[in-house]
Amino acid sequence: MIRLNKFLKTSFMMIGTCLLIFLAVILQKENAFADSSDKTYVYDMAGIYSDDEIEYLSEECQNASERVEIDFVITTTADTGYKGYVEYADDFMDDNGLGYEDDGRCDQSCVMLLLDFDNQQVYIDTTGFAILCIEDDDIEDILDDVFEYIPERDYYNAAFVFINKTYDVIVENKASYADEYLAQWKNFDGTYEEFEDEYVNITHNIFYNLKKPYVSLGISLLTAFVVTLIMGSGSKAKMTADRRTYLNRSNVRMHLMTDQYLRTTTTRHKINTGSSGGGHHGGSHHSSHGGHSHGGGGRHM
Amino acid sequence: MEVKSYICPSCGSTMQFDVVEQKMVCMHCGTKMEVHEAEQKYESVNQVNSSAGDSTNHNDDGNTYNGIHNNISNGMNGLYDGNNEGSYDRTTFKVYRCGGCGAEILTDDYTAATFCSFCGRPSLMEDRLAGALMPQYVIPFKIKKEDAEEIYRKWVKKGKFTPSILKTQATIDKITGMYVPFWLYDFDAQIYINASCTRVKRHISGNYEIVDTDHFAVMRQMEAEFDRIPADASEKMPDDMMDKLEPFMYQDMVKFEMPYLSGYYSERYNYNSQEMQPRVEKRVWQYIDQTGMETITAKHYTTVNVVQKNIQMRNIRASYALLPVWILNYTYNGVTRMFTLNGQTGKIVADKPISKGKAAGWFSGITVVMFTILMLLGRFFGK
Repeated sequence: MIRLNKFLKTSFMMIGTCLLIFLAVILQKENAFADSSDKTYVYDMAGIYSDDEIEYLSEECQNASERVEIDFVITTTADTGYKGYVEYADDFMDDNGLGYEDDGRCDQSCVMLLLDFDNQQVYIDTTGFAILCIEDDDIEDILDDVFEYIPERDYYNAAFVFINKTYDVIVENKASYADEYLAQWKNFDGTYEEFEDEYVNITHNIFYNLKKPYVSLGISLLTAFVVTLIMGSGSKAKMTADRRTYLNRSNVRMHLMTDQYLRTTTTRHKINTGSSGGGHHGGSHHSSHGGHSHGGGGRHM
Repeated sequence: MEVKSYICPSCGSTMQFDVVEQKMVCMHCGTKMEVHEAEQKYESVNQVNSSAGDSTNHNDDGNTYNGIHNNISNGMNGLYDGNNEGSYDRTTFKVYRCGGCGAEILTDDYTAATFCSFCGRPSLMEDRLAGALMPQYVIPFKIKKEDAEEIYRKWVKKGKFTPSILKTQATIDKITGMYVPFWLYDFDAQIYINASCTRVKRHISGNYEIVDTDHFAVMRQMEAEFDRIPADASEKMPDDMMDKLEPFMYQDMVKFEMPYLSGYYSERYNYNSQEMQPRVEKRVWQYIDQTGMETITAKHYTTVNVVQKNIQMRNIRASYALLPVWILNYTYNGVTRMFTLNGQTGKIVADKPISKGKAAGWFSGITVVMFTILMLLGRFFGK
């Protein structure tokens, strides 16, 4: 028996060490790919930019990406095939594994501007932490700025202002609310939707609130107060005689009773369709075919 | 001064009004007699007693005198001087003699029925309720003393915060039945209302909400009579408590006769019907206002905007009635409070004193228990 134990012990130790070495190598290999200088930031498949422009834009993207830890990508295309522009954008990001984090996590953080000349659409697609940092209103604001250049077909400046405006938006929102979740995001592996449900817009059940002592105390005091009040309220006597007690019913004389219809006034007003989910942070998002969460919005050129 | 007591023709003891029988019943031998019979018999019986040496001094002209305490020491004959010396002081105490034991019965100017403090004999000061001061109506007591005590006991038990002093027998024994003087007013009231009202209908059409407002010019003029609104005419009895004792069932109200008061306290009114009128006019104003407005709200308008309102009222009649009330005065925390019970309907009107200690105890207890439960719930179910 003792011999068996000894044998098992040594085997485990050997396997363990091998695994450790193996893992170290693998992780190293992963990190090798994480070198950001290898990243492509501009995918000009429509061929609208000159080499210089691509270089400048890439540099801008890289700067922005490194500063806010979210990849900025510019993509242009003249043919989306059978796909709609949203599907195209989503799949493009998923297939190319776009995003800042390179630790093999499910959803990475990236914001991409797609100039789709096939469908004549300007579309902004967000993934990962970018969905939190760029809310629906922000998308509109960014598009507003971008569209100052679209009618003139100045796609270079359109892309340029996209990077700057989006950068400003992200910086502002990170400071405002998003950075609170940054630590949790860095340790998270899963879709953004899952992240949101767990950390950002946590739906607690009602009993969760009872955990906070001041909530429980508040409720207890209120209940005690109400109960005591009810117990004590039986003490007051009330007036039970009213006009009906003394009214002589046989002697009520109605001298005049007219309800004259005068006119009708009509007003109409538009009903507001409810805005999407109030009170929580982050843009609206959906799931792509690849199973990743994507946010964003677009506008017709 | 002559004190009236109703003597049993069979045994010579006093007769009192019995609630259960609704008749006069002799306290000693149980002989029963109708109320108006007793009143008739009184005249003949009393004359017999007077000539047998009743020690009171009799004065025929029915004037009220200044009773001066010091005169008693002068001897029994000198109880009253014929002259009204000095100013008429309303707070002077009148001296009466008990027909049974001869002791003095001390009362104020308004007490009309009481008990001799020495022998307990029901004694009625007829002159206080005679002539112009005679009440027109009375509602005899329908709830007897034992029942009143029982109602009181139950009331004390009900509150969790009632101080225990109220439960003692000594306190309960102090319950007394009293006929409280009331003025009952009949009023004729008129109201005119001019209002502009709307009825609003909403419906949705596509993306729009359409609101149709129908406008109406509404007029009402009506007249109504409010009968026998009571207002207590006693200074001692708190007005708000007396009001809350209402309603009294006027079906049981009968023509006033002195014997009803035998065995109870009573007094004549402190205020006459004119003095009490403003208090009742306020109520009539509210009543006619509510009655009038009700005819408008019955039409279910969305908004009612009163443009003009005119109310007038006229006092048709004011009757003087004695209404039955069971009263218990008790002191708690240095404050004297009153427990009252409608002697006919049994309605309780009393402010229950609250023992702060007991209330605080319950409050803290509930807080602690709730807090523990909630924290445990949060601990085990919170997610």
